Amino acid sequence: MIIGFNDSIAWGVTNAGRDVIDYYNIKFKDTTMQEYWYNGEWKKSSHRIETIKIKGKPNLEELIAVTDFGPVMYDRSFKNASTEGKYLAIKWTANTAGNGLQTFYQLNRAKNITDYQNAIDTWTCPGQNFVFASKSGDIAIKQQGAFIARWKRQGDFIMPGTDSSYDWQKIIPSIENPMIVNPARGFVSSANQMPTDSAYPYYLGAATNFPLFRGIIINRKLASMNGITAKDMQQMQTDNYNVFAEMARPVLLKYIDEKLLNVNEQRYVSILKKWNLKQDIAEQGATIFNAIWDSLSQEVFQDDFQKVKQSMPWPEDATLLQSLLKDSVYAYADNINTKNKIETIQDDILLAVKKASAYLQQLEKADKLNWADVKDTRVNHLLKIPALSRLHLSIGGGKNCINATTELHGPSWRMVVHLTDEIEAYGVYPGGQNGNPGSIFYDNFIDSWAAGIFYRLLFLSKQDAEKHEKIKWHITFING
Amino acid sequence: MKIITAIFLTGFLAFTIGLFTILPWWSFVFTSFIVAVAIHQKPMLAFLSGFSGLYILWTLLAVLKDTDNEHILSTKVANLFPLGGSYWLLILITGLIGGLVSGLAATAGCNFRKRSSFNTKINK
Repeated sequence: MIIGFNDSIAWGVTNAGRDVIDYYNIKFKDTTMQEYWYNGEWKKSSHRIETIKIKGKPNLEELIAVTDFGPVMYDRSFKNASTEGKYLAIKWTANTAGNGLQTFYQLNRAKNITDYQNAIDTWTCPGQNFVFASKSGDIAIKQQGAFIARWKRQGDFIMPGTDSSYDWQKIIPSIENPMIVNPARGFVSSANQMPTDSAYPYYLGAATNFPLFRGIIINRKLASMNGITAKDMQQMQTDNYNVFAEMARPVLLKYIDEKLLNVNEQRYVSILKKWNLKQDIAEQGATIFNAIWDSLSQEVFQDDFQKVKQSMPWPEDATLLQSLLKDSVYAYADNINTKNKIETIQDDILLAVKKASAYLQQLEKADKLNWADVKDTRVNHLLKIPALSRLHLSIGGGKNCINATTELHGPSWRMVVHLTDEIEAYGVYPGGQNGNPGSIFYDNFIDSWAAGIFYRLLFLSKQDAEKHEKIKWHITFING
Repeated sequence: MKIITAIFLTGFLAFTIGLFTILPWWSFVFTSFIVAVAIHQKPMLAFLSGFSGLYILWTLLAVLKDTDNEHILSTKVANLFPLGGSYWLLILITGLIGGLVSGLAATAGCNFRKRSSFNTKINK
């Protein structure tokens, strides 16, 4: 999490999600990987030896062939089902040198929007959305990085490496990267959503790289809020409203035929109907919605995935929702394992409700129908040792909420900076300021973070720091 | 009152060697051994002195440190091992391990002295 402010500006980043990695299928003359076919002739590859030290055993030495595209990441000594013994070279913008630290060095010293632009223009990898605000009243957001000028769908799959026709043509000039400065709507935002519409001439990478729903709810809230205070922003950052459920619940309810449900199943559906769409700690509707939706996704796609040999990504929730919204006849709704029957969306949803209800009943018996109990968020120790981790945190949210806290993943550093004359900044993160598990300061922020409590961040000038009630100790360094 | 002297010396020297050297945790086997050679007792009593010296020292140290720490670390470690999060059980086992190692070292020291005096007699 990289985020910060000084006495003039505040800034933060979210991941751009752009596709900056490509794989090329290399045709080597033989298994020694000395020569590869490139632009109509055999070309010599260079080699590098990667030494992997193994405790108690001799070193493992990997011979890495390096081509015009980049190093060969998958070869005969590293095979798996999806590469099928191909030779795959990787080309990645991270493999080119950049002065990444300089960006943040300059951002920390930036005074205005010009300094901000100069600071981020040299940023290459990984691509980020740099959000910015200054005391002087400017706001901006720019998606910055070394992005490849792709044609539509270039690099979605493994590309031929036998000539240069599929190679990168150029890096998009920084000036052509998406940017907003002082928009009329009065705010800028990013929650990893797609940064441009279809008018942007370059291909951004697969649409599934860009989550939709958090961006929708953030923009909706910011557009409707007035006279926003730091407290409002804190509340917004911990908001558990599920905008995906807002769109998906009517579709589910439309297709559920309650006459075909038993008393228990009807009861769950009625809780779902009354649910306030918030994934708060004690909401049972959130548990029911997610259980039914997951069962539906399984019901629709599981049979089709069983027939696919290669590993394929599971369709996004948005993909299924869009199909259900568009058309009541959906090809994948049919269970291809049943020979005499063509299942409809209604059939799938009925089955999903029944299967989910069986699961929900188990949860209810164990008194675990509340959303936070089902989600069961934890903060793991780096070695995943339970005794040193914090388990069963009481926190709401979910992947499509602004508070995107799932079982193991979530918005960690929360910060709100109010650029008033005296900077007023608040922050919290799920950890502590001491790395020693024996210290009370090892994990003392976790409960505050889970409860949505922010701390005022101490931001002092050098003079004020000389004498301040919150400063308990001074360290003085003396030369010699 | 040889045994009281032996227990005290075992504990004191183990504390000293632990505090002032960079030797590993079991370095007190040397001091416990020497104490048992210097203060001659029956093997059973030698073991008991060696055991008690370290048991008292480690338990005392652990209790002092753990109270200062308000049992934060000990409770976590007692969860890490199958001790059900009981810091008392952890401290008990800490003392037992120190006591056992030291007791065996003292028994060895006791037997060593017996053996060398036996050898001296034969050689005469």
